[in-house]
Amino acid sequence: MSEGMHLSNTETVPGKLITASFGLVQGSTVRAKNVFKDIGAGLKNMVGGELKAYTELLQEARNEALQRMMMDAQSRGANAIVNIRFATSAVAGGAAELFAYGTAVTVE
Amino acid sequence: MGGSWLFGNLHQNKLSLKLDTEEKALEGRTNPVTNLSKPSQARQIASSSLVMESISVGPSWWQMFTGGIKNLFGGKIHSYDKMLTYGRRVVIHRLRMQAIQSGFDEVINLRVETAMISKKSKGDDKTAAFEFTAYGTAIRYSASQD
Repeated sequence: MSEGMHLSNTETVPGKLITASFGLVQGSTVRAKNVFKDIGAGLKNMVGGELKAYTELLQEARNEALQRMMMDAQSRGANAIVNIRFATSAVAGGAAELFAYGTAVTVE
Repeated sequence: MGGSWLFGNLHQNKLSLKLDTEEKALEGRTNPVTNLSKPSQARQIASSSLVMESISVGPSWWQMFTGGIKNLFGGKIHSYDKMLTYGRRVVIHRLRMQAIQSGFDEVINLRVETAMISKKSKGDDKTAAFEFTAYGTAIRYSASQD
């Protein structure tokens, strides 16, 4: 995570005061399941339970969406993003879109 | 299919027992995770940050099979029930552990999202999975009591 950027999914950054708002910022990424990981997960699916390969894949993807959103905010000169929300949707078979959005602000 | 029933049951029981013991270990301590939108204490806040955890869980072949049959008649699908409840419990538990380990006092505004990871539309890919994401704002209060 980039340094100095305050992230929060509440309406303000707790304990800080918002001084300016830069509007909506967003970041997204589409990831497809990896064929090799898929085989492992397919076997794991036989017994059910956690599918670690997917957990990692999606965590990576979500971090990337978050990074992109933060870059967007940085380019606007913001130092915080508030009210962050995540959304996941399955696009085309075997691929998922991870989407993060929030409001870029400056706090002090 | 029989193997999926046997090993699936064994494996999943083991997983939920493990979670039970982990949750037991925290018994008696107040749960710092809430979905309130504001900090519960009026103390000064030293720092805050976004925290998140996620997990993908899949039902076993056997559970998908029985779920499929149950689906014809409608009603409660117990096999899916178990899987989804487990996933959500784990993800919230992990978030709580993360908050404790990183020394946060509280996690507010918890959101839990569920997403289905689609099967391939063609072919006999049997993989089906659900993803749970829990995220919130972690807060560390200032040490000084005022």
